[in-house]
Amino acid sequence: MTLDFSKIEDFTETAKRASSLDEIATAFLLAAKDFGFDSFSMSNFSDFDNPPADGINIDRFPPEWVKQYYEGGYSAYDPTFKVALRNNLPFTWHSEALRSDLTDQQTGMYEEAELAGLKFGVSVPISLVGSPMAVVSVCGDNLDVSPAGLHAAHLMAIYLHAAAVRISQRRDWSEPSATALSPREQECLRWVSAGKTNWEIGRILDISDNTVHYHLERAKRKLGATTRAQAAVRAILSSEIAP
Amino acid sequence: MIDLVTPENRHLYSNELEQMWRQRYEVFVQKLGWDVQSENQREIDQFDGESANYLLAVDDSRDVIGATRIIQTTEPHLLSDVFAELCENAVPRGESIWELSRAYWLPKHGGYDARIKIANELMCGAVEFALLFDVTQFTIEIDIDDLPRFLSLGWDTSPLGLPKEIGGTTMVASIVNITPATLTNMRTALNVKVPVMRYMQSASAA
Repeated sequence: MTLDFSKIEDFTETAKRASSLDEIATAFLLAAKDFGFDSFSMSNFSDFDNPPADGINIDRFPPEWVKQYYEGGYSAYDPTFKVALRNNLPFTWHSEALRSDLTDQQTGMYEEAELAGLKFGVSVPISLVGSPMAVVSVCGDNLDVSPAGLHAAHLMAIYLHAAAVRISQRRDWSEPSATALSPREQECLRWVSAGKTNWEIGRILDISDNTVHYHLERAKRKLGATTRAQAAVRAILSSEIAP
Repeated sequence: MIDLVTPENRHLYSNELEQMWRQRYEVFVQKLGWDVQSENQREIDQFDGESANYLLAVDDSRDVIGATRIIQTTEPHLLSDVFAELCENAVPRGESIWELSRAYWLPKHGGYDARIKIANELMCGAVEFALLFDVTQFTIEIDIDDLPRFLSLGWDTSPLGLPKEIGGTTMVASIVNITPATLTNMRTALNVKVPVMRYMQSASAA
């Protein structure tokens, strides 16, 4: 598979001008497909139960994997951030850097990821003094990613991170179009506005209350709200959800 | 304070340029282990000739504490003669395209903050230089680990090719678009309110 550098150029130009996280995520996937990747995530925090106020998370992993990840509580033992902090270099999910230190539970997690279609992954740590460390993980079911493909993922991850930080810092409550709630986030907020608890919402949507909590935390951050009720109100006012 | 050294006033800076070549040896050869030629503990190459320009960061005692080299790409430079493999397409060359290279910061005291202060001054100086000398683009070749910081300072940067392993470092070549807005944005981001660069000319008549 020969790399088309112009796809990377298209992505970096889009990254500089993108005005929403959704836009940059879609552009990333479009370019990454060229190098054998079809999903990714970016995060600058790892404690999903207590996301920081300046936390940024973009999730474009297969929904079934996301569901499995949160319902299984995998974030509690996902080694990605620890390995990233230790090495500060990109590492593939099959590399010694990652595999040499895994517990059975962690190995099991990667096996489940493979079954969900994430057969190959590379995680790119991005550190900038004065900012929390971020990790961009790019995955696919193609085991034949070339060194050039890995370098491409590394370069694009850096531009992705820069764009995400820029967009998040400029997020202005008066411009709700920048928030782009995911369908799940909208659903959860709709039920919050109907007075449901996280547990009830979980039963209604057939997902765990951990997952409901996660979706609502992300919605709160996107909307700049401090409580789920405030988030629901803001979403209604900006027509992201119907009352 | 940043002193601009051009071919026209270079003769006034023999002492400072010597300091720079010794410091480049200290930083690039000793500390970073770069595979570059050096002699007598000075790191100086074929691009340090008469047509090179430099920005020298100097402290109150007029000692050099950092520097960067600026070469017009119509002349031989690193990207054209040494690192062309980092470019996917033709190496960008033109009268308004200049290359920044061999940038370093070596404060006498202080750690990270002191280094960053010099780095930021040099970057402001480079943009001031660009606006004075009609530079529309800078080309740079850097360790990919330094790219996030460049992007965070708001430089409009585009990659010229995929990153490649060269001499044990993953390097990437990029091109930076400079406009007057670049200077305004940098000054705002760095809280700088006045020019950093000065140009010393010979006192004697031509």
